[in-house]
Amino acid sequence: MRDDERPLVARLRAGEQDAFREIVDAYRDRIITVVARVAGPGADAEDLAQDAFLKAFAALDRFDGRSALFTWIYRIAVNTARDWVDYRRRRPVVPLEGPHGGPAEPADTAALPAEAAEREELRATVRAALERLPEPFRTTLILREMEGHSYEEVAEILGISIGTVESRLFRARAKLRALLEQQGVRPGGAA
Amino acid sequence: MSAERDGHEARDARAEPMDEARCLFVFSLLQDGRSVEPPLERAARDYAASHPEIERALDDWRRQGRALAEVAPLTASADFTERVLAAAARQGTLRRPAAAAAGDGAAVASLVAEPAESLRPFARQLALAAGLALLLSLIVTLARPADLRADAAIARHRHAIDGFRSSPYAADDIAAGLRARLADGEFGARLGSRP
Repeated sequence: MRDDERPLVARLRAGEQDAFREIVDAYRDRIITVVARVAGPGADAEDLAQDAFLKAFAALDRFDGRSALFTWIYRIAVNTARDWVDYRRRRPVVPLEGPHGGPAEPADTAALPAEAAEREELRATVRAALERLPEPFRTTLILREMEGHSYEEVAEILGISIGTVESRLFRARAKLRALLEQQGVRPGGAA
Repeated sequence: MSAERDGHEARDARAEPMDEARCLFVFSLLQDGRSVEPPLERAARDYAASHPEIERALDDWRRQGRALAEVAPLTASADFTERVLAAAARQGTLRRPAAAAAGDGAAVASLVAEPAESLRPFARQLALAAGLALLLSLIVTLARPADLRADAAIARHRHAIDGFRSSPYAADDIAAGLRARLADGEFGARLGSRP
């Protein structure tokens, strides 16, 4: 366990409310963000993030300090979001406006300058393609490209080897590009 | 490259001749600042120089990566922390509502009161009821004493002693009593030997 985290972990294990407040205040935005990204649209990110924090609090006795406290909570959050995705996959909800996986919802770009509007549209298209990327490639790509984690961090969060991270990222990039091409989009220029 | 472990194989410069997939795998690593064996990197660059589709793919990868990285992070709603703390209190994780002592978050403090505190009046009433029930049961037991019955061993000795008298009101007859003891199989005495 990191020396600077030892007192905080001791306070958390003692059930000190201020320690819990400190942790939630410090990590909440990053946890909500990663949960929203991994769970995708349709998920209540705050509910899932709350669930992740509660799971972490309940499992504090099992925190062995081999990783940083944040990484440990973050891993629980990623797994919570992935469990939700699995749950939704088993019990699909058909949206009222049409079948899932259709063309990307066009971004509202009317008020933006042409270049910014184009970039915003590309962002929306890439995100929509990301939602169609199969697991485990999707989560691996999110952790690397959107969350900016190193290969070592991705490996630790997902509990896989560095070699597997390398391979998954390569395949995820290739698959995402293929999905965009299927939609007639080339991120690097006209299709 | 069909399996995840192919990543390890693709890193091996001697493994196979360079092709598009292997070349892109090497560039995927290089793009992320990962180290690659110099001969493998050279082979990938040589391959890319003669295959323009590699540069197009890499350009697409960079742009799609940038598009993903530009997605803005989310911010928690103002009451998120309070909601998590209240849920943690309901779950029983929090044991000391220090925020109440610090004087902030009074509303939350009332929500996150320790479960033991809220159960205390109920526990007190339960203890009182149990005490009254015990006292009542004691009184009833003492008021109705059970039949006294001697232990089997005591009863046997008593029978042996009774052998010293012909009736409860007669005087002791030691000789008759001893004869009765000798005749008693359970006493285990044998004539001509010490018991």
